[in-house]
Amino acid sequence: MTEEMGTHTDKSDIINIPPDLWAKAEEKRWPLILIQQALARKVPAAQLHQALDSGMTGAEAMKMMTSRAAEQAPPLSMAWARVDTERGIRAKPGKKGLTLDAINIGSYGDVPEYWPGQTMQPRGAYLAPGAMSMGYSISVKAEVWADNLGSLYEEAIQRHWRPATDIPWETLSPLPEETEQAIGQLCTELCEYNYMVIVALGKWIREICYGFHEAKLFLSTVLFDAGLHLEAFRKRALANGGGLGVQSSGQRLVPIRDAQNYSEMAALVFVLNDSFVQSQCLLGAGLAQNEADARLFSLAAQDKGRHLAYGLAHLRYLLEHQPERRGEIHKYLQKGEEYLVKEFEKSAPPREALAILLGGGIREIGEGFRKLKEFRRRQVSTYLGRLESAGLDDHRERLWPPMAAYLEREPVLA
Amino acid sequence: MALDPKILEQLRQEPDMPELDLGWLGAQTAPGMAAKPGRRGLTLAEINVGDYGDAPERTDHNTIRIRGSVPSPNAVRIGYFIPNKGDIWSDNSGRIYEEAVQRQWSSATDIPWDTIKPLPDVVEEAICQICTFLTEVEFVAGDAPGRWIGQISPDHFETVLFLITQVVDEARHLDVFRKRALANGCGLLEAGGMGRALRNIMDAKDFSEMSALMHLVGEGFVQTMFRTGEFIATNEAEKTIFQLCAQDESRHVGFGVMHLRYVLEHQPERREEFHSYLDKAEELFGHPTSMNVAFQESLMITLGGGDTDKGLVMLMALQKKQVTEYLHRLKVAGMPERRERLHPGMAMFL
Amino acid sequence: MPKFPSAEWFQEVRDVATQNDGLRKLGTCDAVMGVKVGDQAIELTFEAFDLVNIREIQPAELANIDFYLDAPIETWREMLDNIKEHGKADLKHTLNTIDFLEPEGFAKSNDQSRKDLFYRYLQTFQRFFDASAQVETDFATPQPV
Repeated sequence: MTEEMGTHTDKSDIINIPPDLWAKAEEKRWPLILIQQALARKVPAAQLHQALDSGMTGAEAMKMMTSRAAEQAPPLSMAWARVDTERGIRAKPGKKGLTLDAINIGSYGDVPEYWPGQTMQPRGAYLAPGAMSMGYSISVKAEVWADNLGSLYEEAIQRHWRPATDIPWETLSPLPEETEQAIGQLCTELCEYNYMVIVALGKWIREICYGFHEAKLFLSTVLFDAGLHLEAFRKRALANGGGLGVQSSGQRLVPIRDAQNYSEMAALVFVLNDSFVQSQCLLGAGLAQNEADARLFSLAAQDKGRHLAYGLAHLRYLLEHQPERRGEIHKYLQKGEEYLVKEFEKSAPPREALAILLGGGIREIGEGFRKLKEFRRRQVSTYLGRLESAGLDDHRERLWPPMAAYLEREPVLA
Repeated sequence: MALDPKILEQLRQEPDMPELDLGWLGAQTAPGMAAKPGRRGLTLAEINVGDYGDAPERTDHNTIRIRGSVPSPNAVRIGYFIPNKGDIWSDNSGRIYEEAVQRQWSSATDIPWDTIKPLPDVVEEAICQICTFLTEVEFVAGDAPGRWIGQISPDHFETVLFLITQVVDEARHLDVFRKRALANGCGLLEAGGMGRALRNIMDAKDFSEMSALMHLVGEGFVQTMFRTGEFIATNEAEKTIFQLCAQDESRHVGFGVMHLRYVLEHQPERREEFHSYLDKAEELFGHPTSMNVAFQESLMITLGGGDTDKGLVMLMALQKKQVTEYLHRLKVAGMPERRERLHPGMAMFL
Repeated sequence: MPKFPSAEWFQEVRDVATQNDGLRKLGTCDAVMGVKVGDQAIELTFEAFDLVNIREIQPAELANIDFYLDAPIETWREMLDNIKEHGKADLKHTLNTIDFLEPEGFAKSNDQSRKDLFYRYLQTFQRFFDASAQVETDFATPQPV
């Protein structure tokens, strides 16, 4: 349960209260810190017992002790100030203020490949003996790291938006019934996906060791974004006379639910699914018939941009530091692709909703399906482009065949 | 409204038309919502009307069905969600969530870092020790909710949304205290002093236990301390940090108080159970293994402005305030009898 | 009246866009964006809360920057006229809509990760071009470089 790390300084000067004195102080309701301070000032334990038995209150004792303070020896142990940590750090704010990157100076910025501790020891701090393990299990940097974590965290904070007030909800106006329902269906699916991200991330954030706090921090913002999107798309569905649609089959969520390690989850969420979700948001913005929809979907797409940037940088880092895992990543992605295509092909509501929106109405759904083919082609092509950029340029040949089939369609979007 | 069958038939006869279902059109169980923004914008309160607003007392579907959407018989199960609303609910979570979204701040640009000037070594070290302690312990309130977020049903999503804001708040707290420690010539100092109390939060076997230990005891005490930040702070930057963090903690404590009240109102048989959680937490408050000497000494230095005797008096006043406010919150939540059961180690501060 | 596209025109737009913390309010933005109109190319460097550098470059140099917006002068003109008319782009003339409807997209790059910056900072770029509503624009036929 406990662990010790690093070099220890002599802690013998930290005053502990003898159990009998402790018990009597509790009984007489004297603050323990008063006892501790008295011991630190070399007041004999016997004298303290006497004082406690005398009927003197804690407040009276404190008054007496502080009035004599000037004549006493230095009362504090100050052992904590003598620990062997790096000193002299003076981080200065830059153009973006005092950022995480700005404080990554000297040993505080050294992120080790392996973090041995399971305590909450901040990177660069001295760990007192006997600190307790918190059970963190992700202790290999490559399993979670990306070089842009710090900057993405700060960007997420800076580019934060507020669905209640940053969306011009008043610009919503009645749409043709089927179009409104199609938007409600799209929003329902996006709510579900974001809920799944929340469930997945909640599980993994708490597994990450403190040595990689940048990962904890950035993923907290992703969790926050997922909550915002859940909230915002729910609001959109309920704000214009439509309502939420039909629950999806949830097929695309299965591999995320079942992910057995962090990098598997990250590949499925931050590379594969977010790639498709972002383009869906851009579609929502591109086809918007009012300012509210345009703003809502494009802000969500922006957030997805950060998540993708992390996912690709993490994938790149992982492949560079654990190249033996390349085949494993291909497998994770293939599984995700298989389930994603299942959702696309077997689940009528989201597919038909997209076709209504792309076609421009229920009567034009046939045209919408033709445009949907081109939309899928662009989605897959963009996804492959991202994998190539991250160093997984051989995935094109390993793409799940039914997904690869989307690439064969002719462009008709224009 | 469902699609006119004639239109559906016409569409099906179009050349190259894929197989059409379109049964989802008009399938909504509670359509027709047209929520309008209020004075605070379009908040959760505005959309929580009619069927969409009814968080069920019990939920058993274990899928990611968004409350108010039409159930799909073929939806996959995602996990085991806590079925009873009373186990995780608080009536103020939606409002606190909206407030948290509005009141986010940036440690990089909202803190006047330029007001930090060189301090006497002992004061700078004390500030850095406080920051080391806080950058260490604050994120337990980010780690612990994560475990529960995945167990709360989408039917009770308001609680999840609130917990998410707590996670990101704690991320900022971890971040801002680390930044302060590294901004003025000292650095991080000693960590590792609060293990058992924090581990208890992580190990809680029940959401309400976690909430009692974390929101009511842990964050309640930290919130009181942050509110005395003006006495600890040596400049505007530190003052701002404490003020902003105190605001955030107030929301977390507010959730905990209202959750406790909800449980006591809806599951009164759990009163004794809550006392046992609080017994466990209070016992550690002044226990030798939890008595963080480094933190207490550094508070004495900063609170006293370098005069440790004055600091001792102020620290005791702070601890008295912490316990008093803790008892007041419990009274508000419906546990006034806690005063009589308070652990002696804590009662001695009163 | 500055000519579009030119460094002078973009500088005037930048001055309008950054008034009253116009770009700062949207958060940080770090990207090097190109604008390609026929044979002319401009490089715009966004950093932190500002557009910090504007320069005319050779079209071949576009390959080295994050991404560039590429469309015939007619498309640019229609977009900028629309912004002028409405004070900001209407729903059919946003950067995203144009990108969505163009078969090969409006934003281009030989690296998808770098092109992704266009989507990640979409609001900032849109706010920037919307500021051109307050700038007089000369659409004289661009001279070959």
